[in-house]
Amino acid sequence: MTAALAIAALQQATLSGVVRDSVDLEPVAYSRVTVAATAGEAAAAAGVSDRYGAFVVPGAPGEGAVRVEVAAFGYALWTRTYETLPTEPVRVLLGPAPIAVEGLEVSVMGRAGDPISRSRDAFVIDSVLLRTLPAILETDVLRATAVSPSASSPSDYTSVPFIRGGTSEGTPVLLDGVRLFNAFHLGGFLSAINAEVVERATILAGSGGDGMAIGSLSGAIDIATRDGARDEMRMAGSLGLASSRLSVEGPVGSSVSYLLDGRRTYIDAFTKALEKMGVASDHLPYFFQDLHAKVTADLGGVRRLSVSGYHNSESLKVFDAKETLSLGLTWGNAAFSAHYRDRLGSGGIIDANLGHSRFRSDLIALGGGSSTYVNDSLVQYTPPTDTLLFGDGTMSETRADLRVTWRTGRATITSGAQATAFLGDHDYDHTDEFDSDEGYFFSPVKLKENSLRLAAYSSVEVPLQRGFSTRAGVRVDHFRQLATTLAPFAELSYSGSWWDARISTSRSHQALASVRDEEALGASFLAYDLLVPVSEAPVPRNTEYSVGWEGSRAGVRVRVDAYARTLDNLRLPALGSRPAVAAALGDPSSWELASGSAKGIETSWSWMSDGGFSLLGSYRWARVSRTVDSRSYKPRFHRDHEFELGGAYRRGASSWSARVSLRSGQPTTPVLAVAPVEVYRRGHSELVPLGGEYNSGTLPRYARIDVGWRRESRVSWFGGGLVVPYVSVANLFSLPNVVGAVVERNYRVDLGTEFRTVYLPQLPMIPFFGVEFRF
Amino acid sequence: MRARARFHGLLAAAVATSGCVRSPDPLELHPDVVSVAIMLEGGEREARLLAAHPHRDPSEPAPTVAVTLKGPGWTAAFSDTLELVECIPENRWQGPARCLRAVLPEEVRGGAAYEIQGTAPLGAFSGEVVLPAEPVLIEPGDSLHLPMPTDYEGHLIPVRYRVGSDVGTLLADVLDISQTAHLGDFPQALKGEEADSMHIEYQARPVRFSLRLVGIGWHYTNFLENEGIYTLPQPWPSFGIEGEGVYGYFDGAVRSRVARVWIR
Repeated sequence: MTAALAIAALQQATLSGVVRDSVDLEPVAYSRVTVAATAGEAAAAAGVSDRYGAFVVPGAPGEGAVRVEVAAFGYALWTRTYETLPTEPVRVLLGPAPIAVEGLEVSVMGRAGDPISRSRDAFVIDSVLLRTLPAILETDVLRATAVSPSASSPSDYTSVPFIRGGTSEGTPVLLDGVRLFNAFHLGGFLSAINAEVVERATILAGSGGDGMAIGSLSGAIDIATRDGARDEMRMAGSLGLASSRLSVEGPVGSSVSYLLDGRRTYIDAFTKALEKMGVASDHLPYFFQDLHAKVTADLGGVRRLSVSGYHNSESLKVFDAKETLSLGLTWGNAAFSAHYRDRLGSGGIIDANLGHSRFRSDLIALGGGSSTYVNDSLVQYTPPTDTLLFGDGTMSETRADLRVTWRTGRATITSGAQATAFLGDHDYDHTDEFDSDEGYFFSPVKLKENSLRLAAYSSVEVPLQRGFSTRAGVRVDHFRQLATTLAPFAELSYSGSWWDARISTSRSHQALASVRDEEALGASFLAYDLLVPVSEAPVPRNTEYSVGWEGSRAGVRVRVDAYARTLDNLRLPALGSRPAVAAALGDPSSWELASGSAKGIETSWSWMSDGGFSLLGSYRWARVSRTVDSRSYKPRFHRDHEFELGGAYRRGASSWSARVSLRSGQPTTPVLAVAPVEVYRRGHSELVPLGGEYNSGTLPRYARIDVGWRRESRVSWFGGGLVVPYVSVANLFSLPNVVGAVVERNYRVDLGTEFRTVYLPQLPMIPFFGVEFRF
Repeated sequence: MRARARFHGLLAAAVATSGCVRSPDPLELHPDVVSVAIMLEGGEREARLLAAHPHRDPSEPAPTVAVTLKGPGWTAAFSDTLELVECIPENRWQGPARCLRAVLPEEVRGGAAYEIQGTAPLGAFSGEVVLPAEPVLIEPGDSLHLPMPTDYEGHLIPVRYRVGSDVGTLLADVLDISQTAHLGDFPQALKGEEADSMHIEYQARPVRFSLRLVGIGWHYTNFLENEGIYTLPQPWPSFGIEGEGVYGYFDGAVRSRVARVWIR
């Protein structure tokens, strides 16, 4: 028996290769590769292609003829028979799978992707699903991630979701492998990543599995861009209400592709035109722009080299009508990343990444100017010269990462090493004149800290008997001058015929904190953040446990996850007497050691019919808390229940989509009494709203329906292409959702003299339209 | 085509309903809640209490409260009902309100401890306060002579003083003004720094007045600091009063010596 097993092992070999789209040669991820002997009853060996389309299948029959099958969603099955297993990497070109729908020939590639079928660790938004969701202003990759039950939008005004009760500083947004700071524009409303070039966005909710390589507190949002077409030059873009986007891609020679894309808003020009027409009194001198470029060289087999660069800038320059106040804000991002991949022996792949990212900001506000008018004519003018607000800042991260993935006969071993240097240099101040008693956005901050993090991690995945398998690993981090930490991960899973289940535990650390105070009302309207290194031990830590089940029958796929996590050694602001009026961006030097916890149940389901219908839904229940200075509370951003349902229907060239969001209300502090106070001998009184326990009440429930329509029209311009006009309506029925509340005395006699709750609104009904094109 | 028409019809209906913002909701507050405000005045032989039903219509009956004040070795009841204007200016809405007075056997003293015990419609309440020590006015001395200003600017009168940390609010007050003159809005808040100044508005004619400092404790200061539209969550800072359904403050104001100021 043993001898037979040994002989069988010796007779096994490894197949590697790359799966690509047959038209534009883009890598195809998550393809299932099966290798089986054409004769006999030996078990087939199988593997899955990674994000670069590469696969390594160990345990394949080393002798005799083999049949290789590659299956990928939206593609026709690829099958080849070899007399002997190829020793060199094979190149698999998948063709689109046409299906018949009521007599019409429709490409399957046009159907929405299935975000829960592709990775057991993640929720994957591909470019197809991205365009299926109703657009808010324009197609937005970060907003799309909120369809994951692990992701929750803190408000309609911010596109970056929070993951499983964590906050944004614990969830890095990665673009081509490098962290992008403040990856949005318009205060957070619109993501700063051009949707034209996004291949997929992967939401990693936990720190185990694929999350081990990230080393963050609350998973990651990993955005991968396309490599660029290898067959011919293509152009794509859109004209939207707020901005226009353009991307150009194509081959250089036979093995290199490029991708160049940019976006520029015309809010400034639009409002300027309104001002000239007399429709608006002042224009808004605000703009943003993005530029992204990527070059990829296919070096043969799994070998490849890609280099990516990104730059964005944003600016607001305001003079009031009489030019007695001025405000100048400029900020922006730059990022660079390089990735090299090679084969290591017959069963290994080595990935080397190098990335640098930087965010800079500069702000100044001047006051003290004066204008004197006589008969509407300016007779005396003093320009503003008093500095009310000033400051500039930089944060940057440089990261080098080397990873080896090795597949043996039974096990898959992943090992890596990382070095990450971070700099936070922030110096902002304002004078008392700029200060406001009730709600402002930032407080003075002055700090310069840098940090270095060295990490090594390794994990192994081993199939056990009777459908069981296990993954386990450990990550060791050395935070310079802080601590050396150990973060283990273990998972046991079972795969049945149509379902699988898993149980796992993991731990993670990070030594970055945020200046944001999520309890401030201003935080709901402004997503910007400044990250700062934690300067003293202990290091913030996440410990989580999860149980998951996933099944697929009759085209319906369901995933259920339950999790519990604790967050220790966080740095958070003390609640203060009135948290709502705190600065959204505060001074982290006054932050205190804090902790948090979250537990929840997440379900998601997807269904796709051959008739053009698709449904994607999720429901999650969660409890989240924070404890600062022995005060425990429910964070203001958290909702206990969230239900999302998206549906799409495609018929011919048109597609319709709708998305329903139902959520329980955000927490708020209930009002017990509104007591008057007579201002000492000043002859007037004020009102003091006295509340109960912080955030023990609940705001009204949230409901929103977004709808979208788009139609593809073939045109002959520029050698032929597609023009896709789209219309979408956010909050179709203008349901009056709220993000906060204040207390107001109703002085109107005809309405009585009662006190009332006045709400801060979420997004009203807004229609958006535009046109996308691809040539 | 029909589907497109339906979609456009739906869109038009949605546009017609746009612009909706959630209407304010009436705040459901207990109607029997009572607000109580007690500010003991240093040097006075009486104390006043303002009790109101802040969540009720002014046309409804004022609250019935029974309150006693305990001082160093004595107890006095808030048994005299005064006209409301004795507690707050006329037409100052606080809901249906009642102004009560307690006659004291001695003057209210800075640094002394006082307690209250009372009952209100929703239950008993109590409170205590230690009055802050009187502010010490160092400068000006007993008298200060200032020249008439040469242009239309006001006066910045330098003041130096010493106050304890038990003072939460420090005010400069003027009294005994020699003629009908508007010197500015008084009492005027001081920064609480030892070298400070108070502002007197321009006067075209000679004027004389007295100046003094008023120090108020932290209970009132804490309460006033939280006025506004944003709810103050628990735990609240100390207001000096605790009890079921009773909200307010119990504090005291103490005065410095008087300095006489001449502008001529």
